[in-house]
Amino acid sequence: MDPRENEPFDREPWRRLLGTDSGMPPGSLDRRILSEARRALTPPVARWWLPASLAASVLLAVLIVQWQFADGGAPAHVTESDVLVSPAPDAAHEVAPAAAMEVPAQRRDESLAPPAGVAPPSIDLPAFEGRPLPAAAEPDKTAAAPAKQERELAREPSFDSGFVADADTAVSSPSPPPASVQAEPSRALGNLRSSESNAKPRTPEDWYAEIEALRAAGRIQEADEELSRLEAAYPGWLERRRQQNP
Amino acid sequence: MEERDADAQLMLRYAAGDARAFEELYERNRAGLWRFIRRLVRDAAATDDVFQECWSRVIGSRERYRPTARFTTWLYRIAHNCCMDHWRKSGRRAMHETTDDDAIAAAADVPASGPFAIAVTDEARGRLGLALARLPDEQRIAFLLYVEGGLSVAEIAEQTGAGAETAKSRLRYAVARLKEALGDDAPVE
Repeated sequence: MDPRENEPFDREPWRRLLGTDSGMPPGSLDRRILSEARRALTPPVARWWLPASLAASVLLAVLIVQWQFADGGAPAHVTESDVLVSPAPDAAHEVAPAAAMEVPAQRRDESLAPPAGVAPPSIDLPAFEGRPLPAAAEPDKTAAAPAKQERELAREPSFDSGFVADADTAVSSPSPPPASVQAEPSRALGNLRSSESNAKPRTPEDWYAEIEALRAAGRIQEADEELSRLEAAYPGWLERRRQQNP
Repeated sequence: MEERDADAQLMLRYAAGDARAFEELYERNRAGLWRFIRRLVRDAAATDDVFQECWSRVIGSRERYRPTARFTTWLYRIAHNCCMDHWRKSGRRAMHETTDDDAIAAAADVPASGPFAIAVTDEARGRLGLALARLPDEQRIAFLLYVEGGLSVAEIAEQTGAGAETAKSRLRYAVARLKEALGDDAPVE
């Protein structure tokens, strides 16, 4: 069927006649419409701005957290006495527990390897493995204060509180150390050096305090050697001390 | 036919992001569409508003556009809908014969220019414009959709909500009145 059959008249002559009307839209209207058409093709800002800002925020947060872990995980500032004695604040523990736990493991490895020609002391090694060491418990606290100072200086979280609890229960009711010993580990270390040079006989109490000062300073091998010498020089003294200060 | 297809292709290219395609499409259709709207609306300021609204709808519909019909058919349907919306907003009844002589005179005021103008006297153009402006709305709408928009009778019937025979008779009445007004200057079919 020819579609033209339904056409009531030929539209072309009329279209040409109407086309003589030269009426045109104003130029300003043309510009507005063309501008709108171009604008419609430009993607809205919000399409990329929102996800981009979210991604930037997430990236920034990750970088900050990583930076904090890296800054808080430096093992050089964590001493063994921190691990054995001082309870770390909870907030510090939350920041970098993993970093703090790496340090005692490292120290333990060091202590397990005895120096050539020196027998590992029988009572010191268990202390590093978290087993009871009554004699070592009290002098360890002599190093607590300087160790805490070191931690504060380095803003260093140091220890898992659960491990502290184990040590406290393993060392049966340690009595508070003397204030003078607690406050001056470095002085005790100095005394040890001078006593070594003078080779004067020392009391076992002073000797033990010096050993703990060594331990607090991170000189584990020397402390172990000194402890062996102490045991040899004063047989049974450590055992008696353990009984007196359970 | 190729020209109509070209319009549809331009619209598709614009929908795909080619701004120059829209410029070409606009240039091809702006004059006819603007005349169509002006003859329906009969108000210069309102003509600009309706014309812009029409193209805004074209722009907004670019992603939904499918060339199932000729582009001009789609375009003039949009334009007709925009005119209807304008009449609703302005409170004017769409279907009534205007008696406003000033509006008729404004709509009939057609400047003479272009190649065909040589063959058409100023007097004939004036008579055509005036006769067209005096047509009843439904006849004028049907005539302009048919001639300027290129819609078929069935499409006009669908667009105006009338039956096909009604649309056809409106077209015949409109042509008869225009021929009567033009006399010897009426186009020969």
